[in-house]
Amino acid sequence: MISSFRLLLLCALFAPLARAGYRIENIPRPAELRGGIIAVGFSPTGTLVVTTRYGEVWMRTTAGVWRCFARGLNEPLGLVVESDSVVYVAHRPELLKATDTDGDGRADTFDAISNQWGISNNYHEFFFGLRRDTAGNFLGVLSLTSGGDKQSLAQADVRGVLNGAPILEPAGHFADVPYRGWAVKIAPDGKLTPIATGFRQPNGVGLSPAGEFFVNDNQGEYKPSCGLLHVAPGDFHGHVAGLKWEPGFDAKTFTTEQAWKRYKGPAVVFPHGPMGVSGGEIIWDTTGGKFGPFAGQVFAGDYTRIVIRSTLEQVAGTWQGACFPFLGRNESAPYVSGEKLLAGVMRSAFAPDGSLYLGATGGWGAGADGLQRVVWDGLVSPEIRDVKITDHGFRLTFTRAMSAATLAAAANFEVNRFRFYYHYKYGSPWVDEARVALKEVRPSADGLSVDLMLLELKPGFVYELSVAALRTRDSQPLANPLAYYTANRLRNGERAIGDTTRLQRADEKALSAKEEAAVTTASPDAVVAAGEKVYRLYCVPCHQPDGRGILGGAANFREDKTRLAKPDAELLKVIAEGNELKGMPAFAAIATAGQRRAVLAYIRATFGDKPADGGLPK
Amino acid sequence: MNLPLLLRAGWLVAFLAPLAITAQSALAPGEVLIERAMLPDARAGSFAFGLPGGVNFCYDPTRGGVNYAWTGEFLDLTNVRPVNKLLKAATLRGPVVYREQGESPLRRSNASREPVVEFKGYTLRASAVELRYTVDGTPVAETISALPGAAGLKRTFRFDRAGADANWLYVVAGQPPSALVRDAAGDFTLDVLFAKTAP
Repeated sequence: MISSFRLLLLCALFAPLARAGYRIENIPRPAELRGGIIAVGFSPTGTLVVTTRYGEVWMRTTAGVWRCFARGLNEPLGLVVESDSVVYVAHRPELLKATDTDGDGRADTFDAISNQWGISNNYHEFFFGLRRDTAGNFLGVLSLTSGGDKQSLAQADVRGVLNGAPILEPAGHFADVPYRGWAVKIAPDGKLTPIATGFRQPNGVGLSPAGEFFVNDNQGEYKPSCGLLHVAPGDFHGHVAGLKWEPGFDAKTFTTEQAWKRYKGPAVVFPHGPMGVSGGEIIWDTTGGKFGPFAGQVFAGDYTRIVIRSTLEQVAGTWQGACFPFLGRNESAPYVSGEKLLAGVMRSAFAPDGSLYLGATGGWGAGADGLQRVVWDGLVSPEIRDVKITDHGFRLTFTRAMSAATLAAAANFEVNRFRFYYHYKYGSPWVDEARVALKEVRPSADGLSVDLMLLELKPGFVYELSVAALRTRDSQPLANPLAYYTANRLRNGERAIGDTTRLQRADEKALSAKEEAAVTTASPDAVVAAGEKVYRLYCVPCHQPDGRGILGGAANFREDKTRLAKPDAELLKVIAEGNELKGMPAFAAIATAGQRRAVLAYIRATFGDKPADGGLPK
Repeated sequence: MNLPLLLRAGWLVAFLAPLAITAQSALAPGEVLIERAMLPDARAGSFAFGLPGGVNFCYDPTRGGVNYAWTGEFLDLTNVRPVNKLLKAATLRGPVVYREQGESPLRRSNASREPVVEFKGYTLRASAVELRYTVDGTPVAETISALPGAAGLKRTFRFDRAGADANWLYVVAGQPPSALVRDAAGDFTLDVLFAKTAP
């Protein structure tokens, strides 16, 4: 007779494990492998290859044995793994081919494939990459030099020609050596061709399965928000600094309006705040369904410990599409089990088994250095699978059939739109925000899609689609009921100059002052409520909903009492001007002075020792 | 012998074995140390090499020469192992015993004409490093190792046929040009002797 204990044990052993959706696992690594993971790849034999901020390349064989393949590199932020003995590495000074010629498992010969760009010792001059097209060309992007380093450049210290001439208004980043701010193509023989400019801090470089070149650039001057940029020869993607290296460019006659008219905005905007603040590598799901129902879609990491999912389509010849939260946004996300994301996800790669490997870089977005992977166990979570533009609105498709009742109710769909300023300042507020009325909702019979017919569909806006009230046929809410669609162009070809941006009108400064006056005269409760809205939009990704921040990164208002002990003027200065070295963005161009004071009132009232006395911070 | 206990222990070892992380050491004994992070008094992209025996040097691939050498320990890398984005220069862990200045020091026949140097790569060898570059298009393979007793650097230059018959000079600012000496194997050599006191 089997005892009840043994029966329970047998049940536990043989019962199928409950499926949860996605599981995040930490990957053990040897103690000698130190520093943030800043590139991830796999060799054709399945060997995992990573690079570290300590300048090393490490390999883990399929048998689980780690070895240091190469060392002594300078921020190797990209790699292309040709084999277990040949790895191409993008680091600051060169594109290197590292080869193990004697078969001892370590690279001994390093060929400089190309180094035909300028560098200084400024900390911000990264060489982001790396991708290789079917013709064997390498693709990467050179980031701008930062004014935050406070070290002026001298010809004796730099490689390349030094040209310090300013372009338009002084911004925080510049391109005084070639070809900073440019995407480059490097032929197999090492010949470098600058192909497009306007980039600032393009930390994510990707090549679609069809060979289209995309970059995930970071928010900043001339950059209203992060997002996926489709890169084609001759493009100008917004930041003016790199233009000085364009043949024939004349800085003396160049205007902001000319820059705006040339500006090619993101194919997919990742709105600053809800969709992160600083993007990482972009990869396509080429697993053929091993990672869930998102085959062919794009995944991008972010500084704020999230992973974003994105879809792309070509509309009248223009790339555009949607983005969705995927991992990390919710503290206790449904359909996600296991570990929390360790830090900002700078690099990622799909393994041969279909799991998603994530490189954690604590020095980028705070948190711990490390390597993680995300495994799908076969359970399809209810999500908005895709959003596509139609002649009169959008078609949403879902990963699971939705209930007919919730799908047919127009009140369950909230559609808002907004765009940005194009200006030399850091980021941009959302401007021209408006609710878009629905004319009709047309659900499909199978519950897997719905057509939203809008009263007005205009190009040049980001559309926010919020569907929190939708339920599946088994009454489950969506795991992530939010999507943003970037409508650069309509299906009839209509598009707006400057894509999802416009120039700020002269009369808008006066309007801003009027709005600020309205905040000043509002009741204390109204000020705090207004501040909460700003906090949730811009501050939550780093400082967290509970104000506890990120260990080693964003300030913890609750436990570190020194943070809010500072006078209002000091805190308002930090909010306005930011602190780049600590990862705090400048909000002077994103939020009005009234909004900045309101958010400080909210922070003091909610996380401070004592509730605010009702007075607006001075 | 307690066989069941041994079997259980064996099962435990077999169970735990996949959890152990096996790794080859990052650095084998006698390997040349290398670092490309920011270095003091050096242009961006310069190398720091540490040869066995406590001989270290900074090589600038843009100018194609040794900027300086120091003896003792290699580098203090605290400044280049950042917890945030900001980087500072690494610190030398020994006295500087050699310095040179001036662009493109390796010159063919004409000491006063600055040639174009293009860096091509490097190879880490046992106790030595080979640097590959071109001087006005002529390929050069320069091997640098330590002289006995850490007395200096032994620099050996190998050229292909186009460069092998030329007169090669090493030109350092503020000093008379040095003619490279051809050895029995047909390579050109230049011994750099370290100063007893800081240069």
